Formats: sequence, C-alpha cells, structure tokens
Amino acid sequence: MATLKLELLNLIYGGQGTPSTHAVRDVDLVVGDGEFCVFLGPSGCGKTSTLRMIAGLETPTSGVVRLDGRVINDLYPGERDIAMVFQSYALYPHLTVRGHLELPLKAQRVPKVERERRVNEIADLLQIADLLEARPRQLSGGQAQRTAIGRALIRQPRLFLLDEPLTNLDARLRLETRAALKRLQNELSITTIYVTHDQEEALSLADTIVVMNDGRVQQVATPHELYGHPVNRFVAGFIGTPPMNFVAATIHPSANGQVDESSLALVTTGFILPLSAQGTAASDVRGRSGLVPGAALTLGVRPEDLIVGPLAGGDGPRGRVVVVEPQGDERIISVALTGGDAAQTVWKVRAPKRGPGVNVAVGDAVGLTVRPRGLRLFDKETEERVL
Amino acid sequence: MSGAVPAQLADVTVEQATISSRFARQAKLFPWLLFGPTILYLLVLSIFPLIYSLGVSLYDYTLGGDATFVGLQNYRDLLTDSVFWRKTWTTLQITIFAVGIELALGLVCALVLNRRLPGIGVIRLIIYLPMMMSPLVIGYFWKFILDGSFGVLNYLISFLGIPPQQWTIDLTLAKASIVLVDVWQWTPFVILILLAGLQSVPPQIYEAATLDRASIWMQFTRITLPYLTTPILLALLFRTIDTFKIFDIVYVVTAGGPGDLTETLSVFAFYEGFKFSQLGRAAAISWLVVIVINILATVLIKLLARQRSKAVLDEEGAVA
Amino acid sequence: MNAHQTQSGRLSQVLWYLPVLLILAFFTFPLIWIVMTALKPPIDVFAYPPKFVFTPTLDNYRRVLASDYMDSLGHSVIIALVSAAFSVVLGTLTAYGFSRYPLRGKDNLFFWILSLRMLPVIAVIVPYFLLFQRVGLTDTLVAMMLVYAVFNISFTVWLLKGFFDEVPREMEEAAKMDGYGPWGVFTRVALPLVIPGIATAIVFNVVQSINEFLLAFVLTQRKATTAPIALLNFLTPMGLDWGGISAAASMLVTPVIILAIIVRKHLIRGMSFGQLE
Repeated sequence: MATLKLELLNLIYGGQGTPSTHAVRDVDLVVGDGEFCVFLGPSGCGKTSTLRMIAGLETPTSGVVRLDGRVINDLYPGERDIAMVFQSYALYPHLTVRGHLELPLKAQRVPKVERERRVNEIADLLQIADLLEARPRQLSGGQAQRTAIGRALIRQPRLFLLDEPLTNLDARLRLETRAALKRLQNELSITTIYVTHDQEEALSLADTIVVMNDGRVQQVATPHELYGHPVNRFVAGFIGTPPMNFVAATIHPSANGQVDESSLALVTTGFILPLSAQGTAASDVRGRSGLVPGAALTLGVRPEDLIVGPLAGGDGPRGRVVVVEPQGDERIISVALTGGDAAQTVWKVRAPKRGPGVNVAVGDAVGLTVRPRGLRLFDKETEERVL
Repeated sequence: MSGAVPAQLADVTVEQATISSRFARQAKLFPWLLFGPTILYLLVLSIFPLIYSLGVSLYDYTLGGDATFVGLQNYRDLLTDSVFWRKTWTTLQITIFAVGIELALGLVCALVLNRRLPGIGVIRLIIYLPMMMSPLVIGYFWKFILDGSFGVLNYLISFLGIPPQQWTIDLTLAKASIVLVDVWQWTPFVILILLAGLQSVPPQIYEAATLDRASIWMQFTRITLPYLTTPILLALLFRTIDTFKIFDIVYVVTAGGPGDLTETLSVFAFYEGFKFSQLGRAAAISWLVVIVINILATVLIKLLARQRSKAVLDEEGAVA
Repeated sequence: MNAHQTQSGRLSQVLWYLPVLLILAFFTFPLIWIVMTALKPPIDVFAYPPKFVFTPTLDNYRRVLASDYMDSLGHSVIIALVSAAFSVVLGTLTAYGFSRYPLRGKDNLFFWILSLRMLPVIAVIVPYFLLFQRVGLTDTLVAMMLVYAVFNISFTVWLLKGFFDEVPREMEEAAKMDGYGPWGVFTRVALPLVIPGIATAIVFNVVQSINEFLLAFVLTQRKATTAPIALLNFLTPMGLDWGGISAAASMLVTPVIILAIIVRKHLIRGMSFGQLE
C-alpha cells in the first residue's frame, strides 16, 4: 500500500556566491499504489532531482513529500521505507553479492535465519543465485544491475525508485532488461518511479508518464494519451520517433472576416492547408480561443501522419527529398519544404516500404499529404495545444 | 507487502503529522565528532604554542632567570643587527642555490628517467630513497664523505686533478657543502613531482604532434612544459620553504661553521635560545622566519592556485 | 620488447641506460659507502686513500647492538607507532569531514593546509620546551608522542581527504538508502574503501617521526632520547666513531627503506602532502 504525493516541491541549488539554479519548480503530483510511473524529460529537466528528493538524498527548498499520507520530509533516506537503484549501480567493491543483499537486512537487524532465506529468495528471483560469492568487479553489466535491484528489493520497500538504470547497458541488453523489469514490477505490484530521458523506454514501461522540462511538470498522462493528445508543443515534440514536424503558421481569414468552415485554411510561408480537408469540423474550431484569423500558431504533424506522393499542382505542402534512411520495413524520408521561409524546414516522413513513395529518391520533388486527424496546432507564444 | 512497519509510522494517526528521524540526532552530532577532537587538539598544541612563542618574543627571557617585558625591542635589535642580516643573507644564498640546482638537475633527471626501460620502476624507487631518510642521518653520511682527512669525496676528485679540500671548514666551500647535501637529498623529490607531471601528459597529444611533424624541441616547449608548470611551482613552493627552514643538515655537517658562516636563521635561533639562553630573542628570530615564510608561501600558493585552475581549463579543452 | 624494434631502436634503448645508471649511482653512492663503512674494521674506516676492498666485519654492528643506542631505537619506534595510531584515528575522521562537509572559502583552506606544513619547527621549540617543563613532561616519551601527533594529524587529514574524495558519492547514498545513518555509512562504506590511504598515512607518520631531530633534541635529555639523538653520542677518544655511526645509521635507515617500498604506489601523494597524485 503505497501512494506518493508530492506537494509543490521546489529545489533551488546554489546561492551565496554561486549562481543559483531552480532545478525543480512547483512539482505537484500523485503516484498511485502499484503504479509504474515514469519521470521523462531531457537532461537537466529536474526529473532526477525530484527523484532524489523523494528518496531523501536532497532536501527540498520548499514543499512536502508524503508517503501514504505521512509527511516524510524529515526522515533520513534509510528510514523512509524506499529503495533506489542508481544509474551507476553504486555497488560496494569490498562486498560480495551476498554481502550487498544482506546489508540492508543487517541495518534492520533481521535475524540470521530469516536473512538467509530472503537472500536466497531474491537471488533466485533475479537469477543471480550462482553469483552470490562474486565481487562487483567480476560481474557483467547486467549481473551488476540485477544485484543493485536485488539490494533494493530485498527490503520489500513501499516505493521503488530507479534512476536511468538502463543507460549503461548495451542496446540488446537494454531491451531484454526492459521487459524483465516490467514483468518484475507486475509480479511484485510495487509502486515504482522510474527516471529516464528515453521516451521509447517510457512509452513501453509506464502506466503513467510524468513529462518534465525546465523543472516543471508538463503533463501527466498515460502513454497513449501523451502520444495522441500532448498538452503543449514540448510534449508533442518530445514523444515519438522521429519527432513531430513543426512549422510556423497562421489562420487565413475568410472573405467576410468570420471563421468559416469552407474557407478556413492554415497558411505557412510555404504552403496552404485547408482545414476542412483534414477532417476538422467547424465545430472543433469555432469558439476555441487562439484560433482567430491571424493568430500566430505552430503547426505540427507527426512523421507517421504524412504521406509522400507525386508533386501535384496547388498550394499544398511540397518539397525536395534530401535524405532517405532505410529502416527495415519502412523508410524515413527527409523532405526540405519549398517556398519562402519554410525552405529552411526539413520534415521527416515515415513511409512504409511497400506504400506510397516507395520509389522516391534523393532529389525528387514531392508533395505531402496530411492524414485526417493528424494535424496539431499550438499557440506560438504559450505553446499550448489549441487543436 | 512491505516489511515490518517502523513503529513510529504505525502510531501516528494525525494526517498532517511529520515523523522525526531516528538518525536526526546522530546526523547533527556527527560533524562534531569529525572535526571537534582534531581542532581542539591542534588548537591546544599548535595554535596556542605559536601565540605563546609570540608572547615570549616580547620579553627578555633567560632560561632559569627573569623575564622582563621589552615589547618589540628584540625585533628592533635584530633588524638593526648586521649579524642578523648576514645570516639572513646566508640562508637566502643557500636556499636560492640549492633550490635552483634541485630544479634544474631534477628536470634533467626526470626527463632522462621518463622512459620505458626494463627495471626503470625499481631504479626510480631507489632514487627516491634519499628524501625519505632522516636529514640528520644524511647529514652524518655526508659529514663523513666530506671529511678533509679521510672523506671519500676528496679521493674521488683527486682523479680530476683537484687537490683535497676542507669541505666543511673552508670559508668558501662550507656553504657549498650545505648546498650539496641538500641537493643530494631533495633532488629526488623534485624528480618525483616532475615525473608525475611528465607522465600526466596524454600520449595521444604527442602522437598527434608527431603526425603533425613537430620537432622534438617544439614538442618539449609547447606540450611538455605547460604540463610541467604546476609540478614545477609545487616543487618550488615546497623546496624553497623547506630549505629556508633548514636546520638538521647544517647542525650536523658544519654546526653553523666555520665560525658562524653557515649559520642559517633556524640554527641562529637555536643557538640564541639554547646556547646563549636568550629565549626571547630566539622566539623573535623564529617569528621573523615565520613571517618571511608566510609571505613567500602566499605568493607561491596564489600562483599555484591560479595555475591549477588554468591547467584544468586547458586540459578540458585539449582532450575533449 | 617489441619484436618489430629496429636495430637502432634497441641501441638507443641501451644507450639510455648510461645516463640512467649515472643518476642512480649518484644517488645511491653515499648510502652504499656508509654500509661499506659499517662493515669495515676500525683502521680501515679512517684509512686514506679510502679502501674499497676490505675484509668485512660485524664488529661495528655488535658494538651498536650492545650499546644504549638500542634503547633509543626502541624509543623511536614506540613513539612513532603510538603517535601514528593516535594521529590516524583523529586525522581520518577530520579528513572525512573535510571531504563530505565542504567548507566555504576553499582557497583559504588550501592556504591553511599548506601553512601547517611550512611551519618552522624552531618557532614552536621554545613554547613546547617551556610548556612541557611546566607540566612536568620533559624528557618523556609521551611528550614526544603528543608533539609529533600535531604534524601527523595535519598530514593525515590532507592525505586522507584526497582518498575520501575518490569514494563515489553514489556509494554512500546507496548505503543511506540501505538504512544506515551517517556513522554507519562512514564505517561500512567510506572507511573500508580508504584502507590504502590509512596504511600510507601510518607509514608516512612513522617515517616522519623516526626521522625527526630538532624537537627530540630539545625536549628529551636522557630518558626518552630517540635514535637520531643517540647518533650524536657516538664519540670515541679519537673523535667520532664513524664505524659505529655508520652501523647505527644503517639500522635506522633500513626500516624507512622498507616502509618506503611498501607505500611506493602512494609515494607522491605522501611527499606532496596530499596535493598531487
């Protein structure tokens, strides 16, 4: 039974002669019991700092950390009933694997018999039973990591924290371990907080993702929702590989100054995109603040929502192919948009191997079509999503 | 699913309650344990004696006799005494020559020893031994070797056609003898430090320079020397201060002689205090030495600190 | 050696040995000469031209072993060990403090570090002398232990601080997460990882104590003399007993050499007062 609540957590480094950094700003969120929650964001966004405040390794400048309703701000890390796996595993060179597993139990004065039992139990679970007498320098990356995980879980903590645990593993091992972690968490049903900058990892592991940037929480949602309904431009651009394509745009005023479904269009300096063609009903548009004619917007389209085709006449998006990257059963085609300012913008398109654009080559002039419902609009200033 | 719930958490019923830490008291007392005993010990046995010594220097104090307060008279007497200045000059001479030779010789030796030859590790270790030995003992070694009647040095130089010398008694050679002994004992220290500096250069830089067809001289001045600046400054700092303070070697090899020709300031203070029982004057001389050393040290340490931060930045840029 | 080495390459290797061995000879000759002298019968000791070939004898050593010198040697060892042990305990704690609880004004700290190293002994000689007289501790082993500890503690602090700095912070954090408080973290994680540093500190402290002269000279007279002081008393009616002095000195120097070899890996850390690695 472990619910975590963070109330207006702030962390400011420095001051007194050194420039201060406001690493964590007003972070406020709840992690439910048994949930696998991922803190996602680029380096320096505050995700690790927040994790460390939960663990007790950093003292918040202001704000409260509650575990199961109790405020734990003043507790030493080891007293919070929380366990953590560090990015570097932080194994002790002078102890054997068994020594590592026993250490937390010794701190809790668990009697020897019980200790033995739990050590063997967790060693079996993590498949390191045959490594119990080995020392860290004899372990491979994966084995070291499992030892770190074992050391954390042997205490049966209420909360399980992981700080970018997969970063130090090679690609293949990373995928395997990812699956193993997910399975483990499911079995144990332990409330878990996992920090990473890799959005693929986040999307595959998480029940809930907390996207952070610049110390603030941007959005808290399920992977599915983050992908389909990003709350702002940052989240939209962060989730998805290759990232969403953007370009500056404005809404074209209609003839009579009213927002009218039949003539509503998005205008960039390179092309014009009639909204009606995107399956956007007028009802979606009318009344939305920010969607007034002339409003400065950013247009976003995911690579998988674009279709490459032959150059048609007209004002639609078009450009020249600059790079083609084969990726197994699809290709990523980079198209430099033509026309005005958009000439500097390169959009990426995910094209299935046997679909449209199969014969496209570098240098070709092509036209792009946006799939229905593939359009996203963001206010240029606030960067919030308006459509 | 969690293990034994800590008693405090189970008892608390109020929602807003903050639980206090078991380790909080330990965490508060811990720094006191770490710093307290040491600072106390050093205060009593090093700061206090120093201040006491300052106090003594303000008195005319003879051992077993009376102590009369004379204020800064001791200092005034010393600073106007040509004898004092002569001995200061002696100390400076010995220091400058010894340190200069140590640095030059040390650099040459370090460059020679910076090779990967079989057994070089053992050879280097043996060369480092002199600096680990008691200066007094080394003083005795050399007193024997430098002896005018049966010293082996006179024997060895006879092969160069030089007649036997009274190394420790001759007016012109006595200071040289002191310098010789100090150089023998402490050049290995300079070699140690400079070698560390030489070996801290990443080999890729030399390889890149060779690919760029840089000459040996260029490689030395442009690559090696900058890496040596910090070690040289550090060696300069330690050796200058240590040689300025020199006592053991002088006491054994020449006892400050002939006459008081090789009396360095430390020896001077010692004789004032324990041969002539002028404890006040002895303390005053010591404090003047402390002041000079502090000035020297401040200058050198500031240089060193600046060099260290500069070196760190340079290194980060060069080996990105 | 590399199998592809050219003839000239190998030749230059051999040629380098020349200056290397020259340097080696220069720095070892006095030591060798003294050992030779210790093994010479008295007439040969004072012979001129000096004899390089002679029949070795252990007479000098026998004489030294039977004399008061052995007591002094014993004093030196006891003082060194006790002082070192005490200093290392205090010094290690403080070193950990400096490493984990960084103070403001690091440059000032840097200066204070080195200023203790640079203190001229002569400046504290008089106060120590007077102080110990007042407390009735003149000519005692305890006085020497206390005095040597001052320098030893400072040295240990700066040496061990470097070692503690190398213990990764995450390891200590992991120990905290494992349920240990500050003391537990220190004893179970930090301390085991700096054992090489502690050994080095002990060795350097012992060596420095054994080698010290001036303080022992002033603060001891008869009962607590240390080995270097005892060397001053090797007088025969004909002057200094060089045979005896050589034998005694070689006995003093041998443990130092052995200890130096033991800590050879950390020699530079020790000699630079923890400033260089």
